[in-house]
Amino acid sequence: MSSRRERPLGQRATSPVIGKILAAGITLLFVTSMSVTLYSGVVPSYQTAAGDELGERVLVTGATAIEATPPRVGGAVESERSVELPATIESEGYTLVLANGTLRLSHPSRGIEAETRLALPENVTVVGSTYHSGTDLVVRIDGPEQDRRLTIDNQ
Amino acid sequence: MELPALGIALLTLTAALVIGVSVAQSALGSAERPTLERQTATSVSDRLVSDEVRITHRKNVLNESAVPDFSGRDLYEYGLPAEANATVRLGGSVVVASGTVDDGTTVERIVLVEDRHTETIEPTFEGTNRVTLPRRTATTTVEIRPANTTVRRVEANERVVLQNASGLDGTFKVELSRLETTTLRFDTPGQLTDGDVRIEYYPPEARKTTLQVTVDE
Repeated sequence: MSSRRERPLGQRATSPVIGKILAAGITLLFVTSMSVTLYSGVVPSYQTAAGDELGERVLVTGATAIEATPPRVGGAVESERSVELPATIESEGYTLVLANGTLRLSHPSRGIEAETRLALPENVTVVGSTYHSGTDLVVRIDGPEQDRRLTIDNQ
Repeated sequence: MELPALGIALLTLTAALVIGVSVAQSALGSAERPTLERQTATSVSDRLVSDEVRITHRKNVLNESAVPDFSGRDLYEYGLPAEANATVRLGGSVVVASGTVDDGTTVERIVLVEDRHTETIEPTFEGTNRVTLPRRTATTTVEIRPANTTVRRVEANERVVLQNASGLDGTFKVELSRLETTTLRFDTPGQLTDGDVRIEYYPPEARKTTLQVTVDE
């Protein structure tokens, strides 16, 4: 018999096991902390920033379409213009509200809400109306030369 | 031992992540622009040069004499939001400023500035009853005070513009075409002489310049 010191059965090869567990633990900790950092801080702020930009552009596209709709001709008119808008901003639907000469973007996320004033000719009356995202935005104008009524609607 | 290797691996991964995030950050930052401000500036400048505002003669042609009467309050009527400030420059010099504009978005457009001045001619009528206006004009004021004869009719390019069988006497406003040179013919039984007719006309003088609208929201 050799003189090698025999360990009890339950204590054999502990250090490789502890080493593996330690490595796995550190990796897990790293992944968790990185995930927490990204998903609680960086990613949402990027989403909001991108959504904010997109929201402003959607609002401007809508406002430009509305401002371009009143025709320059005299007499009674009936005209319609449709413009394609994204269905969602930050994966959520939104509404465009037309009221009192302003166009407002309404979104569940508060940071994305925006508003712009419309520059329209004096003979155009803005009728309060709402567009819900998902279809094309339709801008309608009708009426005699002195009193033209402008509304927005879904397709 | 594999722990040092793991440490180096995680360090590399962290570095890659930081680089990735900062690249994304700069990409997002460069995509940002003052969209709403730009929209406001564009629509205000659109309204400023439309033919229905009082500082223009027609679309894209500003009335030089009306520009000084233009005030900052008018800008808010033309679609500037109440909380925004704006400056309007014509050919580089400030025409209207409402509030202080530190760094705004500028929209520039080329416009014509038209100035109408009054010119007077007193035709001598030597052997003729016709006068050709040297410049094109949309309106003229014709003053007819014949001394020895009566003027029954005034024609502008063969079109009758004034008529009175018993004789025209007084000051008359005549609308003409801006698009052609006008010859006025006075229909009289006798001969008109120097001082019988005085014509005032308003030739436009237009120059090209830039209209800059800066909006700070």
